[in-house]
Amino acid sequence: MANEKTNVAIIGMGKGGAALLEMLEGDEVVKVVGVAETNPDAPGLVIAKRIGIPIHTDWKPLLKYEGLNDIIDVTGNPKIYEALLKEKPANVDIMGGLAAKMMWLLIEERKKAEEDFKKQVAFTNTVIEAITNPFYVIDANTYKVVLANKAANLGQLQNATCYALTHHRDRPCTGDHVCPLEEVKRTKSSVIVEHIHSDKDGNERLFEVRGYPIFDDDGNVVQMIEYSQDITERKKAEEELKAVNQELESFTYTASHDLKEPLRSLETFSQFLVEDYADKLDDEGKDYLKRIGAGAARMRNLIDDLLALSRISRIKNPYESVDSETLVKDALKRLKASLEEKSTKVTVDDELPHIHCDTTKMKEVFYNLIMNAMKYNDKPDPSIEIGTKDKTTFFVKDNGKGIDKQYQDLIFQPFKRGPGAKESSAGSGVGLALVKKIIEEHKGRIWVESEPGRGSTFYFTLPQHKEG
Amino acid sequence: MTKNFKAIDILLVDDSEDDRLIVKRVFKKVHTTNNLYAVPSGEEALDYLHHRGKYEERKPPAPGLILLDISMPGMNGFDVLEQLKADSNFKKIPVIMLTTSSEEGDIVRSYECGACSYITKPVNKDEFFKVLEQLNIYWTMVSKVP
Repeated sequence: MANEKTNVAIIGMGKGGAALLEMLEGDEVVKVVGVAETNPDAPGLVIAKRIGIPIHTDWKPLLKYEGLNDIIDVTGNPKIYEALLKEKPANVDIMGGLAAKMMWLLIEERKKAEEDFKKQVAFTNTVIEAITNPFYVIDANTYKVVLANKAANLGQLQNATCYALTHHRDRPCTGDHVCPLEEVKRTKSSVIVEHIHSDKDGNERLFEVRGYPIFDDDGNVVQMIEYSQDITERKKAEEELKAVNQELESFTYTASHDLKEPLRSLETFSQFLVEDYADKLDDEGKDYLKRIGAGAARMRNLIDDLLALSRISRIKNPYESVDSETLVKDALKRLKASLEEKSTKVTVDDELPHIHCDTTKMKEVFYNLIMNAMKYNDKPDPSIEIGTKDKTTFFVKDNGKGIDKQYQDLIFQPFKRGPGAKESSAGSGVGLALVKKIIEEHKGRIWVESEPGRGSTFYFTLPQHKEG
Repeated sequence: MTKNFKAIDILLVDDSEDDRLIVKRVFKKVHTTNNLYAVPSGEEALDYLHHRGKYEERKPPAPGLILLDISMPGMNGFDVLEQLKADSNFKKIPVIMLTTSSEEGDIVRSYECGACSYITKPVNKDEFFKVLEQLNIYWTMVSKVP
């Protein structure tokens, strides 16, 4: 009700009075009932006229207003102030001098705060626009996009929802199309999802979307910042790489198969020559024939290894839980004859863990590591030790030739062999590449620690080996 | 060993001339009296059996054993095998598949299609006779083993 307001009269319509009028215009508590000013050009008079406040050239009539509560003197004139003090009715308060100045400062401060706020908004906008990836803020309850940068390419926001703007849907995303906002609300933390977005031009692109929650004082998610990165090209490149790899593997497989056929003829018919026509050849001729056969056999071994390597990637067996000891025993059984021939002492840790793995492939891992440990050993008392460190890292340790530092990475590459391998009648150099591929397929890691002349220890981890 | 049985005829189906020669040598080495007919494709094998095309006049007798290569251009071994097993005239003829690899997939599929056994190429005498023994048709081949 109007009579509950504080009725105020203002003396002086200079800059201070004008600011005061502006501030008090429409105020819920204060009503300006009249103003006084001697200078007809004072800036405040224009405002007073506009608002419809009675104007006086002398201040004295103001004192006669009924229901007047305050008089504000912003003239800064001590004479007026003193006169006011004498003449004012008892129930009217006077604010003058300092009070008026404070009022002025308050107004200035408010203006400055507004300016600062505008600057802050401009700064934030500049920062957001500087981001070259789509960036926007979504209201958590209404799904409306409240802010978006140019990179978002959403056009006019027009109070529209995120699902309408970026998905052209009439309701929030569900199912396979995980809504990041739902996730952020559910988890109350930041999320990353892959989303197909279509911009205002209808271009569909795959995005990696990151959502960050904005909380109110009670910890409720009120808004979400969404920052997304276009991963269309990256995904495409990844898919292409995968296809090329698959093609290469299938090519390796086919090529190896086709290579084997003529080789088989070479090997077989040179064998027939030895069997059927040996009496028609002198020793030199027989030697040449043997060399043909041996060369063909070597090449067949190489191709078989190549096939084995490509088969490892092609064939996926289901993982099963198995006692790693049985895999070690299987490998030792297969190598029994050679181990005995070389009088190699084998020690196996009697507490090997259960592992979760592709059993067929893991058998090859142990077989190859143990075979290498046996093969590259020139000591009079060769020994191999198989076990684990803390049940998580397996090792196969030998006291053999060891591997020079510079070859320690090389030996895991197919057909690359350390210099020590030359003298021995070792394989093609695919064994460790095979082992590495299998370990990596099991998300594990393999490495070697070795010093020439003092033996090597091959380590590998199987992070998934704990039973689920 | 009984030698009164008539030696069966054998049909070899293989596109590789080298492989056909290898099988012929095995036969020569063991001095069998079995007739070995060799054809270079699956299509011709069916012509042979059905007395079609160039076999229309000759009308060769049905073989007692078929050695069938898996990997051939055109009809492959599995295609031929499928047709044989669907035909009441030929489904009882034992078939031994010839494969270039001991890959499990090929072997499993051979048995699934109704093959009796398989041999990994190149065919050698010992393996060949081992398979014949397993199939209990060894006697058809031993009429004149030296």
